[in-house]
Amino acid sequence: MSFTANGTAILGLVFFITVIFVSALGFDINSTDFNLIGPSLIWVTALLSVLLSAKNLIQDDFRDGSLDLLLISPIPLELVLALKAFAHWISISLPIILICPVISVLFTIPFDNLIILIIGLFLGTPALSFIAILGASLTFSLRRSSILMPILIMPFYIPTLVFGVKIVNFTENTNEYHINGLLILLAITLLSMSVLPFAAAMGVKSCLK
Amino acid sequence: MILKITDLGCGYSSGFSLRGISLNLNSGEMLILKGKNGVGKTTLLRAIIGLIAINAGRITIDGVDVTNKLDVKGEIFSYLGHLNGLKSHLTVSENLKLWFDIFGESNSNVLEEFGINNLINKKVSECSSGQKRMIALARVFNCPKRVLLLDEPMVGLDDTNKKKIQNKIEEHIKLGGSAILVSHRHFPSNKTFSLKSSTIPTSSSLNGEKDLLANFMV
Repeated sequence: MSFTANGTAILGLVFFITVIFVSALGFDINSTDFNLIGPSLIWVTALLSVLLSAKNLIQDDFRDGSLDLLLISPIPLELVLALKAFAHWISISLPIILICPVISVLFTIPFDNLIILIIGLFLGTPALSFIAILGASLTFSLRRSSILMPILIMPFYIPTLVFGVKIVNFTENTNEYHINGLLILLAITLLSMSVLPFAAAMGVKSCLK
Repeated sequence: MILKITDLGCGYSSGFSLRGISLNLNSGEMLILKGKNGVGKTTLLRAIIGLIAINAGRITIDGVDVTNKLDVKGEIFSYLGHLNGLKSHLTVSENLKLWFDIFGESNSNVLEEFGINNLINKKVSECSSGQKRMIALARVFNCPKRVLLLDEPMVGLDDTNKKKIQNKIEEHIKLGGSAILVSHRHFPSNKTFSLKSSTIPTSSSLNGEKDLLANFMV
C-alpha cells in the first residue's frame, strides 16, 4: 500500500536524487572538500525525504475514515503505527539506501566510507520513520501539519544525523570508532522502535478528543 | 444482551459536549437517533463506540462496564461513520480484503448480495459515492457484530439499495442483534432517541460552551 499510495515512494526517491544532483551543482567539484560533503548531503536529503512523505502517514487514514476503524479493530493501535513506520521505511528509506552506491560515484566517496555510510543509513533511518510517526500522530488533525510537523520533530533527528555523518567523515577512521558509532545509531533506532509507537498511539487518541 | 447507557457525558476539547444521556437497548431492538443538524447525534454514536472519551456516566453490556474500553467494544459493535474508510488508490477487492482480514471474514456472499461483485477490480476513486457507501456497508454486513452503529448509512444510495440495506438491518435485528442508527429515513422501530439543544445555563455554557441535554422519547 505504501508503494501505491499516491506514488509517495517513487516521489520520495525522485526528490532524493533531484536534491542531491542540484546541491552537487552548487559545489566546486574539484575542491578537496567535495567528497566530504557527499555523506552529509546524502543524510540530510534522506532526512528531508522522510519528512516530506511523513505528513500523510496518519492524515490520509484520518480523512478517509480508516483511522476510526483501526482504532476499534482488534489489532492494537501501537502495532498498527509500528507497522506503518516500518512500511514507510521500506518505501522511502530502503530505495534511498539501495541507490546510494550510484550516488556515491558523484562524490567519489571511498569504498570503505561508502560501506560505513550504507550500514549507517540502514541502522539509522528506521529511527527517522519512527520519529516521523510520532510527529504525524500529533499533527494529523491540524490544517498546517506540513509546516508544524518538521518543526516539531526536527530536533529528534539531530542525534541520528550527527552520528550518521560523523562516523563517515571523522578524521579518526578506526574500526573501533566506526563500530561504536554504528552501535549508537542502532541503539537510537531500537529505542525509537520500542517507545515511539506507544507515544504515537497516545498522540492519536488525544488528538481525537 | 442489554446495552445500558447511564447519565453519559462526553465532549470535545473545543467545548462541544453532551451530558445526561441515558438509554437501554435490548437484543432484537433498533434505536433511531433523531435531532437537528449539529445537535450531537454523531458525537453520541462516536462516544458509544469509544472514539470520544466519556467523562461522565457509564456504558454497560450485560452488566459489564465497558465505558472507555475501546478494545472490548470492537468485539461488540460494528461501526460505520460518515466516512467510508476506503482507500481511493486501491481497488474495491483490496480494500475489502484489508478490512475482512482485520474484522473477520464470514461465509456469506455479501458482495453479490450488495451488487458490488462487478466492481471488485475497479479502483475506489472510480466508484460513485453510492457505490462507495455500498462497499463500506458490505464491510459492516460481511461479519456483523452484535450491535450495529450506523451513522446515516443510506446517504447517497438509490431506492433499491436503500431497501436492500433496510432489509439487512431488519434481518440482523430478527436474528437477535441490535442497532443504533442515525437516520432520517422511516424505520419500523419502536424506539427513538431525540437529542435537543438546551439553553439552560450551566457552568460550562456560561463560559461560552455549547451544552446539550438529551430527552428520551419513546
